[in-house]
Amino acid sequence: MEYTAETVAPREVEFTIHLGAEEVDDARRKAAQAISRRVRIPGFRPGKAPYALVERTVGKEYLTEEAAEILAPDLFRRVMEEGGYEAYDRPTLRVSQQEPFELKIRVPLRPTVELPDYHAIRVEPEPEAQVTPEQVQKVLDGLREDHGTWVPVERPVQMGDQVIVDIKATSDGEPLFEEKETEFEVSEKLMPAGLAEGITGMSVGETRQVAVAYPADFAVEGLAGKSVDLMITLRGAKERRLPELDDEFARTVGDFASMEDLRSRIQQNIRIELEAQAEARIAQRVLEAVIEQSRLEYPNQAVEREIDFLVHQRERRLQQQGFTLEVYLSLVHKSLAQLRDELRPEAEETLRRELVLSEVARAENIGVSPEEVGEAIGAIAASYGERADEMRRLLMREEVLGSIVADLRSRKALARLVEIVAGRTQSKAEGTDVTAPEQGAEEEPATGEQQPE
Amino acid sequence: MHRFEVLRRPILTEKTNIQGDAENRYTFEVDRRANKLQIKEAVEKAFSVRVTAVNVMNVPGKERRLGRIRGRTPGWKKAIVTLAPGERIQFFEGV
Repeated sequence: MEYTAETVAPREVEFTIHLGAEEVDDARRKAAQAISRRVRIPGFRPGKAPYALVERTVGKEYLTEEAAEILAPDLFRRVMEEGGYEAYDRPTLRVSQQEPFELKIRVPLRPTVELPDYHAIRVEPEPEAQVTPEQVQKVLDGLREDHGTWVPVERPVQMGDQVIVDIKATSDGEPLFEEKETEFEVSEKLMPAGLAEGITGMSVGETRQVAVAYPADFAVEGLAGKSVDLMITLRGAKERRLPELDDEFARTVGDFASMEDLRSRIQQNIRIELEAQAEARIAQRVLEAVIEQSRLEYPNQAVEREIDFLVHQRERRLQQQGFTLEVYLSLVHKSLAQLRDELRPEAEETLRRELVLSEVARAENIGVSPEEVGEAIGAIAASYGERADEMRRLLMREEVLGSIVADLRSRKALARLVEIVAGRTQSKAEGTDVTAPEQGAEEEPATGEQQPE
Repeated sequence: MHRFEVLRRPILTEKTNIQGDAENRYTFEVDRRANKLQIKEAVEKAFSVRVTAVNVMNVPGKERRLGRIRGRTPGWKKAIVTLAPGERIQFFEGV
């Protein structure tokens, strides 16, 4: 056997293999036997047809292809071992030449990840979260709005009031519609323009004529683009009354002793929220910095797989809304290929993150213990309430379990990375010239058992 | 009858395959009107071989039914031709 290996794409190798005629002939005979077992040749029991007759029935080319299939696994193993390659996915083979026999085997290789010296990377810490009085006030205002009441008033209508009116609409003397006791809020946003202004200042019982013009793109056909006279009679008006921000209000909102109590709780909640956001931002920046400086090589198949996953995810989401992917695609006038193309950057991004994180997990000796997996499953199952047990069973299935473990591992790796890069580990906090040998000294003692992937 | 009309097709089955290999006997479907001498001549001319014996037999047709309709497949004449030792017919070769 003679062969050459050629890198045809990033992390993708194509082997060109030449074989002696005898080896090929041997394989062809084996192939013929296999074929005759499959293809019925009249006059012969399956597997009993002679070689020449099989060749005449299926053609020599087909026979050679079959022979290649028989030869390939062994050849493939040999060339992979000799070259020290690791396959990422199944190889594809092609008989590029019948006589003399030449076989091409193309295979994507495992991605390679070369991490930078991430102990030396530093990112600016996020500024400390500051809760401003305005932010607290905004939440309080929202609460007031939620607890506001409508109270009837006798004064002329103002903006922001709620009114009950009878409306009779005519256009050029033609009656259009009539509504009794219809209720709405008087605001600048009210359609059509001019109506709100026309109503303000009216007193209960008063009738006014307001001329309005509906915009040309108004949603109701027959009204769009028309000038309409509205005879409006005010039946009643209500005013929005917001509760005072006092201790009593604090007690109605929830379990708070006083206004002060409520304020400090709001402030605390906002702070927690802001801190979580800051933490997420810094994790993102740390990861980006590390990815930026990593050298990643991966085959296209890896990206395609990630895209498959995204498409699948989207399909499931659509199905929950009662769509199918096909219907959705025809609605947005896209082909599946277009959708996949659009998802490509996202897929590549995810892939790069995963590759870097799993490499970090490896370098930092991060494992996931069975207890942690159990906890994660418990947490997910618990969120399903009554169906928790059913969910737990589903999550215990091997393929799901694998992805949970991988996810936990990534998360731990990211947390670790943030600790290191954001300079939070005590031992390395100040050192910027951390060298490789010291990395080994920093193994976590409590990593637990390494889960098989 | 012309000798090109005599031989209709070779019979390729496991059985004829074994007979060909072991006893140098080859089997054909032949025209029903052909006799042994005509078959001998036809095989000798067509494949440039010497024939030492010809055995013939009439294969009866089979009854076929499709629902209530009965029919018969046509019968045919089979000839088993023995060649002189060392002679081969290329067409069957390796089969």
